[in-house]
Amino acid sequence: MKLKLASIYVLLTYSIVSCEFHDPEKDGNLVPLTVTQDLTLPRFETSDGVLLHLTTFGDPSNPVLVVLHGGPGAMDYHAYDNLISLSDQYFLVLFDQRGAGLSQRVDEPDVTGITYMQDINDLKAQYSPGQKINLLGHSFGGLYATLYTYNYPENVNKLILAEPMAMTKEANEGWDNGDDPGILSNELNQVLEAFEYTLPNSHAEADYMWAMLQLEFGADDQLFGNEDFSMTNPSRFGYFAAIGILNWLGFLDESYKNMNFLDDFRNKFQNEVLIMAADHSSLGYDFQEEFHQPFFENVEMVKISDSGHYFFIFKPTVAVPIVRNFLNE
Amino acid sequence: MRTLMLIILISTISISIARSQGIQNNFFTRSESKTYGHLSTELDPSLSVALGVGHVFSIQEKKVLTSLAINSPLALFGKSAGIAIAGSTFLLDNEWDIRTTVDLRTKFFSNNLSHGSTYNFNVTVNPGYYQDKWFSSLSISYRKYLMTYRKHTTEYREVFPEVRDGWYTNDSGLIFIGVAGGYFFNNVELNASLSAKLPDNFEDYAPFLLPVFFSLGANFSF
Repeated sequence: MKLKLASIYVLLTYSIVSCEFHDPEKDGNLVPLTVTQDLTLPRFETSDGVLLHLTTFGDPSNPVLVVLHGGPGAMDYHAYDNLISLSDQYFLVLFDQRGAGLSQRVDEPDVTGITYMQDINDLKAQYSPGQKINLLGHSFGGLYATLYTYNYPENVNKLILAEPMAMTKEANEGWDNGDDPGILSNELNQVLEAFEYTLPNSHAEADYMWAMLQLEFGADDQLFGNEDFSMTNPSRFGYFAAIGILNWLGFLDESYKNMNFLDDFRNKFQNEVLIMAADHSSLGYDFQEEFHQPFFENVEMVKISDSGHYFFIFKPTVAVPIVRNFLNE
Repeated sequence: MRTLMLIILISTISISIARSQGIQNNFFTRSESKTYGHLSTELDPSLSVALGVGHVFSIQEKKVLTSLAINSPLALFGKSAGIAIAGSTFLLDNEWDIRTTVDLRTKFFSNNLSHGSTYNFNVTVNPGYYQDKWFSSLSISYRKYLMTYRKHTTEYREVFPEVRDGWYTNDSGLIFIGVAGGYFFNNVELNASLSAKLPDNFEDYAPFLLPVFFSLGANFSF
């Protein structure tokens, strides 16, 4: 009997010891390497030393178009690869926002509207010194572009907003983003269960859990229409990019403390603004017309028919020419 | 030496798994019954139900309750379930007493990211006043997550094709501090516990980590 127990104990111990254990905090196991570890990734160093995953396309002497991806922390610049066709006329700057995609991870205090705006200033100083830039922002990127333009109107030529996320308290309250998950919803319970055994003690674990949250809650039919949501996923989700910027805006606690930039926007910026919006999206044309258009002085609105939120991925033959025509006007 | 043997025995009995906060059976030392059934609902971390059986052994003149419980979150039947084996005894055999419980638990999960199992070890002490018909106690527990096995879904592989399947270490730990109480009549014990739950590194993970644990349970002696 004693021999049997000893054998079982030895076998059990051996089987546990012989297992190869991966470290969940190490990049490359649960989440991809970022530009910090993968030296083959193209990068740009900001003035405070943060490495952004960035690629440029076209002739640097052409007017610059900087693209700000959606999210926050839930998309990266590859969702906008279809815009590369504009590089025959424009110098295109595509990058992953700090803490998002494959850009360097930074802690929450370094992900604020201030640091985000400084990143655009750094890009402008590098790629368009002495010249205004054109800004295109999609979803969260639309808010980001508007925030930057409000604070640095002298740096922006044309502003393109592709279904910007709610930019005011009223817009957020008026946004039909689906029903709140009930206490017995599959999504909520999956997240609660998984979070407990994967407490995000590192950027890798936090990004992994943010992926879970996005994959569980992301497929909102009202927002995404009939589109294949998986095609919008980034190379790596960015937890602190999301939490940092949403906290700074006052979005999470609904204080909206830094979301008053639209109130005075028309007095700050009179250049042309284009709002693109789809008809099958809860952030679509009707929403933009009601909650955002009134704040802009010189605005044109274009509806993308038979489309959801991600028209640069799923309707590029319609959406990209609209951008080109607007920039060429 | 006897105490050491007892601890080793309880730990050995507990080599397995669980999801309920250990069977909250507090009257096994005050009853002649050897076998118990257990039914409870709890918030840990999602709303779950647990079924279990327990058997009382006498070891070195000390009664030790061993128990096996299975558990599933109400919303995740078929996607998540847990098993636990626990050992529990009282240290002092007085009205003022300390109930100690150790258990190993596993949870099988299946979500959009991965399928797999996770293992944790729990130590609970309930110092309190244990009368024949009722008890009330503090409830202090530490849960250490040990390891997690993950096999990733096709959905997540579309995000990160090189994600590594297999065993992962786990440095998560949780502390539970609260109160428990119960009442014993005929062959039935009703009990409840309510605890604050916080991570052992005291980081703020709200709103994703619910800071509360509760359980409502019943034990039936045979």
